[in-house]
Amino acid sequence: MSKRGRLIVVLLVLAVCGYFLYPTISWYTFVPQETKELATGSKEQIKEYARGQAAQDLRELKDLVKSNPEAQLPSEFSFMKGIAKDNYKASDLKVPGSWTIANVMNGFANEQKFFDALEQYYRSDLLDMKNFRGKALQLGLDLSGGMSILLEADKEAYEEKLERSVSDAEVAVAVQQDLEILNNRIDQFGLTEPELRLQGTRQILVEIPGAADPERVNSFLKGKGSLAFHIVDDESTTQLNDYYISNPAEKYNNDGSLRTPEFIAPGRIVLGVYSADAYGIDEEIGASVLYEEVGLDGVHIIEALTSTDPITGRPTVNFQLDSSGGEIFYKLTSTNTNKRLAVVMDKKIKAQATISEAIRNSVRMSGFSSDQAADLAIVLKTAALPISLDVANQQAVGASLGEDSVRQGLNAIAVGFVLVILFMLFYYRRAGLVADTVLILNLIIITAVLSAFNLTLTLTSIAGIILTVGMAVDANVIIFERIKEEYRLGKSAEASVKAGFKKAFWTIMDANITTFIAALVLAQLGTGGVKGFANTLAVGIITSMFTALFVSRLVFDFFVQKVKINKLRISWRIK
Amino acid sequence: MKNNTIIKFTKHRFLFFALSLLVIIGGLTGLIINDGLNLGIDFEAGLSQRVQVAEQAMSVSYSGADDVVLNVINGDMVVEISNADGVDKTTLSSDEYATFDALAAKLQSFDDITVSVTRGNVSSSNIATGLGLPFTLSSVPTVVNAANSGTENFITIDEVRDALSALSGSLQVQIVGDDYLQEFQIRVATESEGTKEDLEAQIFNLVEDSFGTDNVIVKQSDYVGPKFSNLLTYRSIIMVVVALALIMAYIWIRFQFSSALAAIAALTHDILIMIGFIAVFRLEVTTTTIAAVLTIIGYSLNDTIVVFDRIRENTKLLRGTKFEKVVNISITQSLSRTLITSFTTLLAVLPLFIFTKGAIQLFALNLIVGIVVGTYSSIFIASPVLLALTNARLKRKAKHLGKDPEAILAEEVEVNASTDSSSVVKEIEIASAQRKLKGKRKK
Repeated sequence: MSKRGRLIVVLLVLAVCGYFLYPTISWYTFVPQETKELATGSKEQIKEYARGQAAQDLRELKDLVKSNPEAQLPSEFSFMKGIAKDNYKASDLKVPGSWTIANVMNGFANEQKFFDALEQYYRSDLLDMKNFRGKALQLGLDLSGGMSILLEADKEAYEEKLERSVSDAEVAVAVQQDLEILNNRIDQFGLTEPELRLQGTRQILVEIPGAADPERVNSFLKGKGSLAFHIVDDESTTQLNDYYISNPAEKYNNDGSLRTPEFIAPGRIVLGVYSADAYGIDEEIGASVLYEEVGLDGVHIIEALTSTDPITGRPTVNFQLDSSGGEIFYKLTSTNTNKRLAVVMDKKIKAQATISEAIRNSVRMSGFSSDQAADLAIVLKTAALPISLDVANQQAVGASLGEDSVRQGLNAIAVGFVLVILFMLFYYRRAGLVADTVLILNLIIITAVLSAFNLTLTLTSIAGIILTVGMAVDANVIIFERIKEEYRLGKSAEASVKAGFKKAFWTIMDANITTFIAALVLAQLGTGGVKGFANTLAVGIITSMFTALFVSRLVFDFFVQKVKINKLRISWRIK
Repeated sequence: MKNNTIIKFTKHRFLFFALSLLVIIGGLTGLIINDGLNLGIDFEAGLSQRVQVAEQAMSVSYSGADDVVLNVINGDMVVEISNADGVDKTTLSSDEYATFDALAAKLQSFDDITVSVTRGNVSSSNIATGLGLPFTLSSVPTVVNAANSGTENFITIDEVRDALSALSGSLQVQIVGDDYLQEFQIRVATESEGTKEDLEAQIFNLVEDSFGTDNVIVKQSDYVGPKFSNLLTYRSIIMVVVALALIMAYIWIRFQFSSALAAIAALTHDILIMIGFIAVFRLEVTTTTIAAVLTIIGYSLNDTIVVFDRIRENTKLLRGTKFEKVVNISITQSLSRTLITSFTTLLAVLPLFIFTKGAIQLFALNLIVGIVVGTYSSIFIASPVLLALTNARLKRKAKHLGKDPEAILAEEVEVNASTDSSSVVKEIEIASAQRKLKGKRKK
């Protein structure tokens, strides 16, 4: 490859790194603490905040108009001007010449629309920030703390399920099994380096780095058993909705659950229909009456594949059924053609679809958010929890290493790094500069890859990075020592560089590939900290090979071939 | 390092083997004497206790004949007086009785209740709740605490750790919730003898000793299991076996079977010495220890392969030279690289050891030991073992064929060179090697 081609490759790599590092750098340096806290909150908190802010703004603006009808729109609300302008144009009205608050407000059909626009402004800002945070490099439990969630086994539900009373010892066994299943499941959820422990005999303590979404934690607690298909009683549903509309006071019980009116026949149940709102929170959008008898239990689902509907673009879930499930489902769908089928999860109707023909093996349903669909697919893939778990307590915990030690540790790492840089410069002189450059490049690439794959930085992965720094320096040392040997034999600078790299190539490859094998096995089979270490190491080995064999080579070639340096300054003794 | 000197690293190889064996045996003896490793709470069950340091706000005593129970529900104090006439429940909402002074005044109005207030002007919404609730009042004063509300000068995690330094088991302290609330999660491995109650009392007393009697409340206390369950331990063992097997296979393909054996021997040597060191000095074993051992495996492997690579190359270059000499030339040639790499890695780790404490310092210490051992083994163990294995093999073969061992080696190299079509062999410039040898002869 020509030098120009190689330079382009290096620049491309750097550009890609920049792209992946951007969220990390801005999250940790530019985003104000207050925004960070808001963005790490749950979606419900964001919703509350956005609504609160919007309501406050609306009151403030209305007060301003009241005191002075001609008040100009304060500059912090100028984003509303654009929306109002578009609205004026859309309804073929003359766009006003001056943007007083009153004029802006008139650009909206009603106050609610104005409020919605304000809310959306705050919402999209924070949701974007939340998304952004997901792309930034995360710090592990040991370095930055996280969320501690205490799960408690639901003994009553277990007894109900087994239809007999159970002893505490049986519960303990089931909880132990739950723990193993959760260990598996959490790994697949890609939740970064959580810690799970048994607490007492009926509780499981989960610790998740960063500010975990309670919604997310809930989603991995669910099991196959929580999903079922029911046939919808369309006639009663229409009746029910009419009744709710004419008697709003009769809709809810005191605890907020839907009230079942007396006219609903026995053997039917009333459940709310839910859909994810703009925040991704389940929102009740209606109610349906279902036959209480389960049409098909979720245990018959072997697999759930997620895809996107080609026409609507909405996420869909394709449920694959086992053979006995297929039989049941065929019977169900053939006797209920033209009726509606509902997917019920945790007493919420997540999706409804009309049965157009008898189906045997697979069902496709939409109505899930893409996150929900993905989580559902994982839950259905892993074994069901023998005993269901509820969140008993949830709170933030600090770094397990202690905030002060972490700061000291990071400083010490920086000192060590500077020492290495200085030593290389001192020992290899001008060539040391090349080594240092690629070393820094190496760190940049590793951090970028860690951010890109959403890996978590823990003390153990820092260990991986230290080893990588060692190996990256080593690769350069091997090359330099080889070049020195060749140069001592009286070869020209160009020939020494060429021979040095050639001879060092397989040494570096063999040494790195052996370590890489170890790293791959650890990354596949390891858990928690070991996995984090192995991931960083594997990434580091590839980047250090790239930087040493490709980037260093390019720099050397450039200087000996283009700049025509014929004296190599590679150590103190060779002049 | 001058070009023309060859250091005879392998001359006293049996001495080094004996030395290593001695160190390993010493370490393993230490392991047995110390009754296994000092496992941290990542691997062992332990006690998890959540305490809050909250200063006493007032103390309440009751001298009457009824049963009086004091509770806190949703932040409001509730007084329940039960007697033959039934139960009389009064809620003292924190809105109405905003300070402890106000609360105390109200409590005093009940018959036979006496209150002594220590922090009367503190807002009653700071009332701290713990496992002790609900309190049954008696003539012995019951202490009511108030959580710290000032956001400055609160107790830090390190102070708590210092307070608990007398505990024998491995310890982890974490802040729970906002740091100024002074709530801490304390986890101790339960290797120390005694019941759960003993340990609970011990923790509580240590915290009280440091932060004042009646100023500490226990919020939760429970046994927790290890983070690494048996399944995980089992998986880790499989993992190590698989990794070693694959590494051996690769070295076998790229080098020779004896190289694979020698590399694994050096690796085992390093791991055993590290485990011995950790056992003898009773260093706490945590997840980071595993990371440190793994780092050293990677490091030592890397080191060993670089030397083997040089041996492989020199075996072809210096045909007809005794294998022992080839090994020594190779170690000598790669010596400066071995030392520089070890030195730079130590440079990166030493500050970590010097400037930190606790888990990170321990981690750095493990790494330092590992780097030193890894460097030593790649020079004095891996290559000499390879030499011993090769010599034994050549002797066996020579005896079998009735030839000279050196001749067998030369033949093998010849065969390898002709079948090996990889660019490495072709590209080697014999001229440079000869020049190198000439230089040697000149001296």
